[in-house]
Amino acid sequence: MIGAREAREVAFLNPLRSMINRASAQHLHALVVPGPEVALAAGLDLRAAGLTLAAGPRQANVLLLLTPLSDKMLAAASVAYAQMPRPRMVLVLGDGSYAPLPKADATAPLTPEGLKQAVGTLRQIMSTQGFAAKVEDFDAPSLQSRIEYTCPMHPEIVQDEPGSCPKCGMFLVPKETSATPETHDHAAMATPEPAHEADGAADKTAKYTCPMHPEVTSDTPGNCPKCGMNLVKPEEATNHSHHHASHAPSEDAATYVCPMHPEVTSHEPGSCPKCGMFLEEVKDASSEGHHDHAEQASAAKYTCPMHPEVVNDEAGSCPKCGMFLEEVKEAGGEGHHGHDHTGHASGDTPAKYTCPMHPEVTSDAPGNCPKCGMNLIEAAEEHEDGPHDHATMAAHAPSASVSSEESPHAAHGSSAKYTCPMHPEVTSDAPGNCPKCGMNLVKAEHAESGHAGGHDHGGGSTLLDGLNGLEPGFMSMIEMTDGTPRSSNGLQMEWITTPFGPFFPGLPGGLTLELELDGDTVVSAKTGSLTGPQDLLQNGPRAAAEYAAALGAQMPLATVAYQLLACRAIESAAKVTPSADIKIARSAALARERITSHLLWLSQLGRQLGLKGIEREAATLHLLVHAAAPEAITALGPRLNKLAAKARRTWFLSRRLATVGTLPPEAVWDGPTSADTTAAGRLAARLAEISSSLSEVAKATSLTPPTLADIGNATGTGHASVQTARGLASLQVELRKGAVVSATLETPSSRHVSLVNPLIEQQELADALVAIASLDLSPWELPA
Amino acid sequence: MSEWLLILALFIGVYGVAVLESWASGNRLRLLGPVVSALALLGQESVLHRKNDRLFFETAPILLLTAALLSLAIIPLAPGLIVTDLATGALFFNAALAYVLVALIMAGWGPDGAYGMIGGWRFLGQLIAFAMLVVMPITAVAMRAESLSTVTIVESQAQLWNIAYQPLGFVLFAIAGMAMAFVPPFDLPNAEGELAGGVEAEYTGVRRMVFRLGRMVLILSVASAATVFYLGGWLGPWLPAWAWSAVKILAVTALMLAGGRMFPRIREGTLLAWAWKLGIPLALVNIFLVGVLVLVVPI
Repeated sequence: MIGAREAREVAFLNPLRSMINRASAQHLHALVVPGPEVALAAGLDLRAAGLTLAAGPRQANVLLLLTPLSDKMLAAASVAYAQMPRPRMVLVLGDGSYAPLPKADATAPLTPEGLKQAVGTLRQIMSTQGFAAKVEDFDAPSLQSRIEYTCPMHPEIVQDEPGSCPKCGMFLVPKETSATPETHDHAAMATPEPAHEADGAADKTAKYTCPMHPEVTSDTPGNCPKCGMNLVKPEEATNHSHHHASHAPSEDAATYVCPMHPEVTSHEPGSCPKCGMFLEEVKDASSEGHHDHAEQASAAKYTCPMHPEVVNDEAGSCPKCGMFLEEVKEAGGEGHHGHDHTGHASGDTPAKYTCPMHPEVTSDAPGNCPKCGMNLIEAAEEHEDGPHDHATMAAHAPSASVSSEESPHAAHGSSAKYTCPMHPEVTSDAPGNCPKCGMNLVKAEHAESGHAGGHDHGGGSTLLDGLNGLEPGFMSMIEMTDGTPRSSNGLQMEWITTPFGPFFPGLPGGLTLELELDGDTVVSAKTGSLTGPQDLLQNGPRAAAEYAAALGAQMPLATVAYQLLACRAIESAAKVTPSADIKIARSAALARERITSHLLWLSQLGRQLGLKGIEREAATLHLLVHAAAPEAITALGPRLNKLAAKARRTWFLSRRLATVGTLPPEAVWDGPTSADTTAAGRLAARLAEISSSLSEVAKATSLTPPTLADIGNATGTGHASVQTARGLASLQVELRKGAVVSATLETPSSRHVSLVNPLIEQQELADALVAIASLDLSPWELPA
Repeated sequence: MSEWLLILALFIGVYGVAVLESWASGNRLRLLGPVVSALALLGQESVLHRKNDRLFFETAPILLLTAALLSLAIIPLAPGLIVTDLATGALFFNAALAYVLVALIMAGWGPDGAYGMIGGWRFLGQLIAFAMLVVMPITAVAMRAESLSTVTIVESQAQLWNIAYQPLGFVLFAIAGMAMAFVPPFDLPNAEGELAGGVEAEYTGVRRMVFRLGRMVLILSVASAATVFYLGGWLGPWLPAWAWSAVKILAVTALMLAGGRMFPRIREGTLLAWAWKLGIPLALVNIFLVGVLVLVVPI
């Protein structure tokens, strides 16, 4: 047994282990690949064979593969197998290959007897070999992963090597991602990228602008009146941030980029969807800058405005963030943004450096915080008496913004206050600690009068920009969530992308549904399939009869319908008309399949909604009907009608379905239809079709799968369509000498899949799943 | 002596609930089913996810079990057969069950999976709404008994059981109790068809066993409380007191589990609308009616 539990040989535990083994052998929970409906369609009664359906791989100890399966399906199955707890077994029915999965514990033909026998084998294996001294690892290609490093605050920063974030200096944390695209059954959290359209226009005429305040423009070089930073040429400001973002998505065609968020690029001028700053034009990301300071004396030292510990003898760019180094006129290496370089003499008092997050971390030299890796900031302000010569954004605290409104210079000196970087309402005239969080208070000065209008930062970020000593890359929640998508209910929540499927209970197996969830409200869905119609003619033309059989076999949930479709199309191409008897037998076979198909759907709906009675009864009836003769089906009529009546009468069922899945008026829907376009209407239509199909079956004397009439060596083109249980399927074939040379198939599910998104937008998760189920999409009909 | 009887009663009760639960969901009465399941889960690998929140993941099943066990402490099975006859017993029941919410949110958060997390947050809304609906009918029960002691509450029903005296309160309590124990159709946090198991989805092996055991004790606790508050507890002719308790508790459990299977799972929005817009006003009406009754027909 491949998936046994590892256990050392301990004599006194053996009786307990053998009891556990025997209990496990009676406790077989199966995860069915592709899905239980395929097992039912093949006539397998899992329940009678002793297998319970597992809700997910974690609850399963048997992986039941109904072969043949597509490669994608097998890859997903190998992930599911890896998620199953030991002891676990693989049961393969049918003779298809199951490559990435380990050797099957039992194999059997895809028949009820085969299943029964195989389950017996499984029980025997489990009851003796649940524990093994040595176990083998399972390693599938789709499980291989690699480690990449990302910033906890800036998920867009991803690199292969450990290091620190170029935006905030925090240590990057390792993150595991799959080496190959795959489908996990449970989702890791994902932070979606905003998809906002940029609007507005960048100011391209100005020659110099502030890297932090793009609204500040000047024709001459100088300092920003808001933060005191040196004004730079717009293209340089772009270079500052773009240079260090070589791993960010920077397409060649993108010409505009946000100075703060290098990953935001646009072909057109506009504003950043994350921070609202104007996008700036990129000339060439790798070109050397022409900073106005670079022309000055070569003896001067250069330092990074963001990383004071970076000091260089030559002009250049910061190795940490790529910004251009600025000239320092005095020794001391102090380089906060927002300081005037002439005013702040740090030679007198030894500069202390502290972490903005961990005030207890202090250092005499600049560097990184040993706790979080952020750059240490200078804490010397607390000890200084002299007024600073910088004009920064003020705290928004009402109590601190009175006197400064009149003149920007009035703020300097006398009204300088200390405030907490986290709690702007905490202000103090003296340095100290915040009474709320204990952080060191930092100095805050008031803005000049004009600060309220015209800048594009969120309120929080201007506040933080203005606080002395805080880096511009400081993580503000407001800034971080600003610009992230917001749903119509206005609640700001993290959006998560969650896969539902391919083996999700309550949805057809093989259907992959990826929902973007805002809380438990669905924003959008991506629907796909792990299996789908293959090109049956890829190996050249096929004999007509062989083609018809192959087309039917490709659709395990609608074999008869597609066989019939192929027969009709080929016969129309060959201009052969089948006899009336054959027509009746065919339509009766189609009617029987319609009943079984709707029963499968009803069983699945019961599973999704927790209606065990309906789930079981529909499955049982399916097994009785799917291969029965007309008389037997007629005899089952009362039972079928009783089930339909039960579904109609179940309290709250219609009410629950009546509010979801309303088809838009322009929707193209050719499945079971009633006047009511909601999910309840489709339930009623399917139940009505079960009854009407019953009478159609009763007309026939025998039911045989449609067989192709003798068409000889006919040549021609033909077209046919069949109303399957899911809607109208059509096929166009071209015959040449009795062989199909080309065929075009159109399936109802491939049309109806476009309805998923309109039906589920802004719906609650449960409603969205019901709405999708009500469409009865078949993964076998969707392109893989 | 009575401690051992209580522990024995607990084991029998939980076993009975487990048998009834598998009967209601699988439509098969298998008397040995719980033993088989427990042994199989004992032998199963208990997977610990790599990105887990270990503390939350490990604590949640134990907290669920503990909260449910605590709420059983005030259930009298017969005169003198009670863990503790607290003077505030009726309220203690609700207070203990409040930790079920914490347990489920922890279970949802712990394994770092979307299904579990959504299940946990779903239950947050559900329990806050229905905890109110548990405690408000209990208020009316306590008004009649003029005591919060569960023993006094049972004795107050000697003339007429509360199910007849305040039927509205019973209906509200039964629905709210089912929602608190998240049995179908209120199984939103661990829905199979919607969340592939939700908060339970990532638990395997022994942890899953403890989680399910906690769930069984919770169902037992809610059924016992309904018996004590509305069905006269141990009161009844012919049979000994403890037997009446056992019969009533198991009957309530069976009704609860089988009845719930007849409905589709309720939507979260509908569920909360019922609780706040319909349930709370009805519970207030119930309190008013019982208040008038207590003054007019004091039996």
